[in-house]
Amino acid sequence: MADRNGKHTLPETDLEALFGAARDADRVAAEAGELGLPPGLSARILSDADSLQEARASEAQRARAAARHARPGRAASGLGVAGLMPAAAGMGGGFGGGLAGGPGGPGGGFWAQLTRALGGGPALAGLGAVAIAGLWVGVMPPEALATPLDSLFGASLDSNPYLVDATTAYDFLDSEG
Amino acid sequence: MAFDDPDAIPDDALLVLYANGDGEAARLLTARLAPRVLAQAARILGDRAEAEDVTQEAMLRLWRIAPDWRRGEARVSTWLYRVTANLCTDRLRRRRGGAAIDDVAEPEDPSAPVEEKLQAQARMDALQGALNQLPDRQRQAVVLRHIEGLGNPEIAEILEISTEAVESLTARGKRALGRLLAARREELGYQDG
Repeated sequence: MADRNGKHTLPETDLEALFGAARDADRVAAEAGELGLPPGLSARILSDADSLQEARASEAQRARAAARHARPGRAASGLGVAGLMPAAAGMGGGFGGGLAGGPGGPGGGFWAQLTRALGGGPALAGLGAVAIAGLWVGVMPPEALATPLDSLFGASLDSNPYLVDATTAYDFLDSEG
Repeated sequence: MAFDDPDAIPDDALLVLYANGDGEAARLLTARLAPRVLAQAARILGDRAEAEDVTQEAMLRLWRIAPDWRRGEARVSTWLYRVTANLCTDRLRRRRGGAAIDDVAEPEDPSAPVEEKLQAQARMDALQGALNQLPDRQRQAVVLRHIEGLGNPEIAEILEISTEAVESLTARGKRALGRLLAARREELGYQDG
């Protein structure tokens, strides 16, 4: 048989039959799965897979160990949630130690732990100063602040919801006779 | 890990399981994909031993990429066909000017009578011999289209060419195969009619 260029060629049907036979042969091998592979090839492939898996597992283990070693440094800096966790645990130990009267935990007694938790001595001093200033402003409000506060909370006694009428129902009955 | 129905698990899910340390997933992927890789490599290279090396290398690349595999972006089989095609191309380039290649040994059908087996073997040998004479790209396109049975868009993705280029390659490859095999028609047991 000749093709359109006049060259001798295998008919399309024969070529398709050849392709079909090759497909069938490959399908038989593919359906056999591992059994369709030559002896040793499957073992070599799986050995590669296992080696890579083991290498990755030990790499991950090393990374975890490195992260564990790095953690105490972060706790000392007092930054981050993970860094605060050991301090909180230490505070628990301090509570126990303080209540039991025995030796303190890693961070010392209750007040020492509380002082550290609030940020140390300077922070406590600042907190105290702010508390005293707040109390002073409440007791002796400055002139500039007093007028706006009066208008805000209402200077009129009539509308003040916190005032209580001291007269009782019996007083009313007495007056009516 | 035991799977109730391993066939129902997609390739990419198995790859994720493998990346998470599941050894059984590697065995299932090997059973599912390696025979196809071996068949493709054997048809393109025409050499069984080389095809086995390519299969091992292609699967190794699959294990390596597993942790970075992005599900849904590409099919594992398509990716593997592409890796295999590239590995075969590299080997064919290295082989240029080179030694004669062994014919691919076809898996035997144990149920067929001896004469039929011989005839089938002769046909497969003739097909492989003709495939070996095609230019590399034509051979890859013909194998993927007519033997692996892939569609033109997938072949285009594998060979990284346009669909039109795939059509052209397969058409030219098929015509060349027809001419190469024409002289052996009677020998291969094909009759007129």
